[in-house]
Amino acid sequence: MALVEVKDVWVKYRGARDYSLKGVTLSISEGVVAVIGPTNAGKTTLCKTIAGIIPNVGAYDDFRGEVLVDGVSTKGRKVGEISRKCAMVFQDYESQLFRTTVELEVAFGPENLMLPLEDIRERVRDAIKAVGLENLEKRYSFALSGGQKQRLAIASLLSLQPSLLILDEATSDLDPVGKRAIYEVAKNLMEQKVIKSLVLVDHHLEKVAAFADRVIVMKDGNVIMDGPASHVLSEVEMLIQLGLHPPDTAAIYSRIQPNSKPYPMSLEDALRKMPKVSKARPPPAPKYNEDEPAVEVEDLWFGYQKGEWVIKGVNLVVRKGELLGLIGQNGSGKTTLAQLVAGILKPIRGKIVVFGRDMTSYGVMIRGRDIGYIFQNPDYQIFSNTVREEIAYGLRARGLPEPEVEARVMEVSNMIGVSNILDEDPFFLTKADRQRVAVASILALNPRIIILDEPTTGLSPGETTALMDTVLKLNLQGTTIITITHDMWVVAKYCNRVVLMTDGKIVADGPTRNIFSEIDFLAKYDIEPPTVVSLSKKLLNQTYLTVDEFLDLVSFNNETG
Amino acid sequence: MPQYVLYVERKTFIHHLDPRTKIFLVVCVFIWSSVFNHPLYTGFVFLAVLSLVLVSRTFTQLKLFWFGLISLALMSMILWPLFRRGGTTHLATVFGISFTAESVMYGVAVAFRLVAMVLSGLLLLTTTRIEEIELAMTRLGLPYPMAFGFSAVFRFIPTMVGDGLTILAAQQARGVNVAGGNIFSRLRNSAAIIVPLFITTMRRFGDLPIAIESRGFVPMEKRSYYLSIKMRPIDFVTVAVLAVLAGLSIYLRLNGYGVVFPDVI
Repeated sequence: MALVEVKDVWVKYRGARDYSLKGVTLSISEGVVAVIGPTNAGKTTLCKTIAGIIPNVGAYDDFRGEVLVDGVSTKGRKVGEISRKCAMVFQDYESQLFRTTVELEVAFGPENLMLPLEDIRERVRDAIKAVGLENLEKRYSFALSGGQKQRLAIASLLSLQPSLLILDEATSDLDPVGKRAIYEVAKNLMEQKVIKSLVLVDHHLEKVAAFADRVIVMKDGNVIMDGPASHVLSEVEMLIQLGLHPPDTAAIYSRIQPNSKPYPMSLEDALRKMPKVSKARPPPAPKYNEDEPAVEVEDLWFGYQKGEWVIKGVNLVVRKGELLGLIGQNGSGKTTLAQLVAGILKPIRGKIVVFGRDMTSYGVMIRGRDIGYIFQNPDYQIFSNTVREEIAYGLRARGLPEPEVEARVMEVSNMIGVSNILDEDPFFLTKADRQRVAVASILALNPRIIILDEPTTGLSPGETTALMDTVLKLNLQGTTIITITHDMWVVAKYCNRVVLMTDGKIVADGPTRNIFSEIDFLAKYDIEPPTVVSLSKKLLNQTYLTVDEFLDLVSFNNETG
Repeated sequence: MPQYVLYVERKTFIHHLDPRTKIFLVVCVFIWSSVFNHPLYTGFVFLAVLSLVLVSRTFTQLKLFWFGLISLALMSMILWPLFRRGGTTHLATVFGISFTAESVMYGVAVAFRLVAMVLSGLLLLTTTRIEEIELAMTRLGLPYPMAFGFSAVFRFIPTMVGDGLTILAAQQARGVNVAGGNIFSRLRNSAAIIVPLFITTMRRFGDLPIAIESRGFVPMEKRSYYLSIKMRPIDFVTVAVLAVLAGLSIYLRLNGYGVVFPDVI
């Protein structure tokens, strides 16, 4: 018998325009199942339905169909009971943490099972070990890094000893090390049979390919494809149309050998099957920007607490018109450096010069005229009743005359693509739209430098591309951009310069192509360039940054397309 | 990120007391400081609480609160003499308002009272884990969801402070001047901080019921506890001493001791 059976399920949230699930039928037995699809496809709704949250908690206009967990319908049962079999890690996993310390967090589940103290201790120990958080038992959970919190959320569900674990975009917030750790944890759980099955929602299709047995593709509340991972992920055309980012190897093979489905999904496999290259033209030589400096940082030191330096003597010159990618693991000091540049934090030592003026002693209010800072979480900025007011706010605060405000709002909203929602309440928009509104409200102020702090977190690849295309457009108009990101394909596609930080220092700085060609060096800092970079390096000793560039510059003997 | 956690692990007498004993201590501080309104008496209660803070070695943990506590005391000392009229010993006349020594003494007494009360609450929070207080409350007969709600509020204070600081920075970066301008722009600008903080906090608390159910929690079902609390002999002795002192304080008040104004609290 299947562990979970979803039978013709329809879900319509209270007040929603349309159904979020439209007659979904599927069953889940043992193994790893990945659910992929664009935003609003119904992925999270499906997860919540399996976990019994829908229809038992929340308000719905309609719920039809049936979900059976171990043969028993979830309808009318307590979520707390179902979660003991099907446990779900939310996309916003932090919301699932509500105790003070790691061990108490993990103990909460077994406490609910009314277990004796000895059993609770054993389960806490096992669960903490399974996710690799040993020796952190007494730590405050909110003092952990993002990746550790994520693993803690998993541990706090594992202690319930469920048979099925659901990870809803569990790794979208994490740095590369954190992502890999989660996948390793999940793999161990499966191998050691701690759990029988795993359902995961993820946009990172190369990871999905390496890990999932089966892939379910969703769109507009329907399952549009369901099959073995390598088959589904070979449908490159469909994936691109859905705004997803197909594995680099699959994208390449779909062009050079379209009839060889299923395409190779790993670098090794792709190299082995690669046809003979007839000609490989070198990529364009990297351009060094010689323009005037926009930001000059000299010997910058900063720490939140005495004696604990977070930024340790950073020197950096960002030139006008650059699109700079600031990369590095969490805790390497990227956000701190960016906030120092923006004037949100004040350095303890060092100098910050913006467009030739020493701005070290000026705060964020003054520097804000030159530097726009876009935070990771748009909800930290949005407070107006309509999108229009939100975008106009900063302009009015600067005392601009009303007609000018109006004109500027229209101009920016057209550029960002929010002109159709100007009169809507930002509170009810999707995260991607709220992110766009936050960007628009900063852009309206016409800053000469824009800093984006992980702007693409939680966005689908399609939404990421849309946002970054806008950023690129601004950059081409002369705005200097600094973006912090963990998405290396974003860096490869958009950034012309990369700065790599580790432990409060800059360890690499140069044109993206130069930096990404040093694959072994980057590996030391747990940075993995896109697969196409590794592929071109190994195959041709060239550095092609994107699949398109690879296909443009490399010709094959048997090329058909 | 700086941290805003009150609890600090130390090996002191106060830390080792059962949370129920400490809750009773807070109740007793409220009784002692409420039955008297003479500054010598409430001042004595205040000093007693302060010495407990020193004994528990949590003084530095409270550095964020001193400013607030001193402001609270000053407010009381300034406002009460204005509103608590009466008394016979004329002290001074300022701007045509006469002050009596009694009303000034009452203001000082209430200042000590308020600070002692707040400080005793802080003493509980700096020496006891939130989960232990939660457990103590359930042992004292409070339904679990209520005890959980209480602990959740304190658990999320550090998170809220962090959110607030980020929001402040985010709004300043787009030209929101929180400190300047006329009254209307100030109101409008403080909305720029309060609204996002409110929405962020509401989202957090709104998600909480689903979050706890997703962790196997079934409302009103019995549960066991990982932590254990136990009333030891020293706790019973402490409770007994506290109770006697509380009884004594009420006895003293009923016999007219420790009051400036006998007819008011």
